[in-house]
Amino acid sequence: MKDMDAEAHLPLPAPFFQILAALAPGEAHGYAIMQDVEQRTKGKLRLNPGTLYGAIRRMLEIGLIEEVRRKSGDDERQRRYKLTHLGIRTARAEATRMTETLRYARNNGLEPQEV
Amino acid sequence: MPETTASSRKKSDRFFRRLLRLYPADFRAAWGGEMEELFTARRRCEPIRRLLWEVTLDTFKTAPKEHLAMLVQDIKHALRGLRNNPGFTAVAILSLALGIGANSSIFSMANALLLRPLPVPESSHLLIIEGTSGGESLPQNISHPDYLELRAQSKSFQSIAASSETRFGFASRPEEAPQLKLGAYVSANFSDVLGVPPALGRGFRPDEDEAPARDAVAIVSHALWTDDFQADPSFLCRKILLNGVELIIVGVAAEGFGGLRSGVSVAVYVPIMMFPALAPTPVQAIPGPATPVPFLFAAAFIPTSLTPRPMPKS
Repeated sequence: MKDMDAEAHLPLPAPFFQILAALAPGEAHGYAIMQDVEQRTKGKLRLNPGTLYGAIRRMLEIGLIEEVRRKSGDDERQRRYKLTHLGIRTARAEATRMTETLRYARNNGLEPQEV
Repeated sequence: MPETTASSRKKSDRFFRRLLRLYPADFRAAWGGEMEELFTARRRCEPIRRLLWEVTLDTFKTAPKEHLAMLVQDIKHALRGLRNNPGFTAVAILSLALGIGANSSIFSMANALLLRPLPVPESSHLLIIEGTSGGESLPQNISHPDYLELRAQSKSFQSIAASSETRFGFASRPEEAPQLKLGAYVSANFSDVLGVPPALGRGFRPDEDEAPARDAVAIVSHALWTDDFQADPSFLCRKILLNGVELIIVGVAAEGFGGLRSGVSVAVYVPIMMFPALAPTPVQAIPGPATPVPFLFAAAFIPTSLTPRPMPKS
């Protein structure tokens, strides 16, 4: 039933999956997410402010991520986010889906280029 | 780090703040500050032109989506609220239904009576002449002698016709119980002035509007012909009874035409001179020097270049 919840959100839009991947190691704020995605994709995916915060709003709404409670001394303007259980399951389900797609591509002679 | 002056930094920050205004207010309140910080951080380490181009495109791509998302959220919230308060929902729906119903009824009435032009060709050239009397603000009818005088002396109008609505007891056969139908006494040139020739038969001849109670002829509306006589093509020259008086049908009016007033359908037309024979009581008849027909509307067909002159008071 829980996996069904996660699969209901598949396929994830590219920014959603990248944000989930950026939050996998731990909580982060918007700017850190943007930097992580940009570095990991070698600048191929640049999350501009509208795309990033539009995705964050939607992911908060459907419960893939949640806001971390601020500690005293935190910068009030910078909110930090972390994955929820649903977010982790959804990211795994999306990774599985992508792996299967990749395997299918390989089996049909569409070998990915070395990155 | 790209070289940027303080002034260009300020300008780009101001530009981004303006872009943020394209997002819904709620979205701006929630994320605007962080978006601005993110922009400033990127501005410090990226070429400013490329950054401005990217954020502009991004804003135009994402702001409409956010507006749509907010709209959907508002609708969902409203529906949830309505579901949780059935009493309020019922009152709101009822109020809306009554409001919409009342407004559409009033509009339909105003449209039929005031806005929709008469179903005649060149209705914009048509003028309804009404009289005034003793400072009364409401329009008054014009007497038949005044109508004759106006028609004889007027130079501004191409032609003038007259019509006076009344109710007749109508029967298609002598043994039939009469039904009340809206009728009109009209001048012989009525259909010519309005440019609406009869669908069947003929209009009244000038001589049928000369001698009182001599020519018992009538024209019926297209609706009456189709509804009561099943559009019988051999209908002409049949006799009908109006207020117990026999008249011969000489024509059927054009389809959709119902007289001079919008929203009102005259069923039977008779020549003005039939008034003495058809008037149900002497009360209606007010003595006049020319004929006893007292109350008339007059219709005139005027060339567009002329402005109608004020009507002489009756």
